[in-house]
Amino acid sequence: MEISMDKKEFQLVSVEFRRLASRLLKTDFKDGLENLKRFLSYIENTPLIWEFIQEHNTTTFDIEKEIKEREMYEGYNIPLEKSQEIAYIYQLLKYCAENCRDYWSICAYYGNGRKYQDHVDAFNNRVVSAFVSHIEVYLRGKWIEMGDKGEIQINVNGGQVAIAQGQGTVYATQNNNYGQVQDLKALAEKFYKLIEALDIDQEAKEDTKEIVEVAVAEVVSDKPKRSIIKHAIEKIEYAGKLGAGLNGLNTVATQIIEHLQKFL
Amino acid sequence: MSDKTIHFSIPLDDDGFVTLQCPFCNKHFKISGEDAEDETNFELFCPYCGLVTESNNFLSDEVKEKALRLAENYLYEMLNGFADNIDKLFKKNDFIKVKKSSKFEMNSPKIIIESDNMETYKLPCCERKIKASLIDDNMYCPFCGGETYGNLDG
Repeated sequence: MEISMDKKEFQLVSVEFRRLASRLLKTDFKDGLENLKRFLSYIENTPLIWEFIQEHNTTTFDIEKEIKEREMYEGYNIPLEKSQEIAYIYQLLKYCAENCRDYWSICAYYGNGRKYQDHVDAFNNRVVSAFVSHIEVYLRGKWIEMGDKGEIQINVNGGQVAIAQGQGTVYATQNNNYGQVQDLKALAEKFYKLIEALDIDQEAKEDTKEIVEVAVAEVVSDKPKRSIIKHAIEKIEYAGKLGAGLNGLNTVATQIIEHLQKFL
Repeated sequence: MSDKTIHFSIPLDDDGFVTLQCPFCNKHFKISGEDAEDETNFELFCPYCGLVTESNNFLSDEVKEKALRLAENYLYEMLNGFADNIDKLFKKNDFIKVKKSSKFEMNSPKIIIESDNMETYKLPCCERKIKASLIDDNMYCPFCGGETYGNLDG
């Protein structure tokens, strides 16, 4: 699937990113966790930015240990190398969003002030702003590359986001819809098991399984063939109707169809 | 005690621009006095880092210092006057004696000098002008926040 992005669309993404980043950087400590979640949700669901994060997020850090071992009034051991710095800060923020009860948990005693807000401000100034700055520089670079009449194409094919300028060559690849493909594979596995309960002959069951397998493989490929996906959808729809009211087959079938329709 | 509002003016440069300072990256830029007074610009984007917040957060350190000095002087004036009044009140009283210590020393006024060391750029997106110190012509428009190429004016 290819998403074409013109200058206006690019600017909407860029402005929204900076708006949410600003909101987090200037957050009241009581609203920190919500603003962090808003910020992370946006960058994770925006292919143009997620592509950049995934490109750099290649080292896994033991964030729980990092938080526990940090001394009061000392900073985190943020790596010097750019990619590792991006990965470390992203994982730290992600850990907080998923495991902490409040934003202050990862900001505690980061600054010298007595108030909670002082610690949050210091953490934002010293940690989050560096992360935001890396993304801002990346987006600015993309903007410059677009040129006066430029356009960006983001290909979300085969679990990869590929960005090309105008008619140029694809030069950046990164898995964007990895989670979606994993979900689809898991649903397909469920589907294969559930279809066994259907009262149709074994050959029809095998045919349906086979076309679903092929469709899932197409989704992972660079250029998914629409005809195969359409054919798979028809087969799944038919099996779903036959299985209506039985053991959840219809629900799973609907979910698979929803996934596959994204690639049409 | 009720709030007290102290009005003071911020000087413009020779071209009618006022200096602002980004609260995120601390860099300076200028917008016209007209745009600064326009209440529809309730938020501004920094032309350098592109981050956004309410326009009153863009006051420069110099302006904040001036405001602080004025506020302190107002407070000192009140406290000095209060001490004088108490002194007068109990001057002829044989039971209560008031001993005044030295008065609060007033801050010298903060003078803001608007230097003109930035280039003027025309913004094609919002058709306005700003002043900034850019490495190249790429910037964010302080008004709409979009990436733009500022055209050097003049």
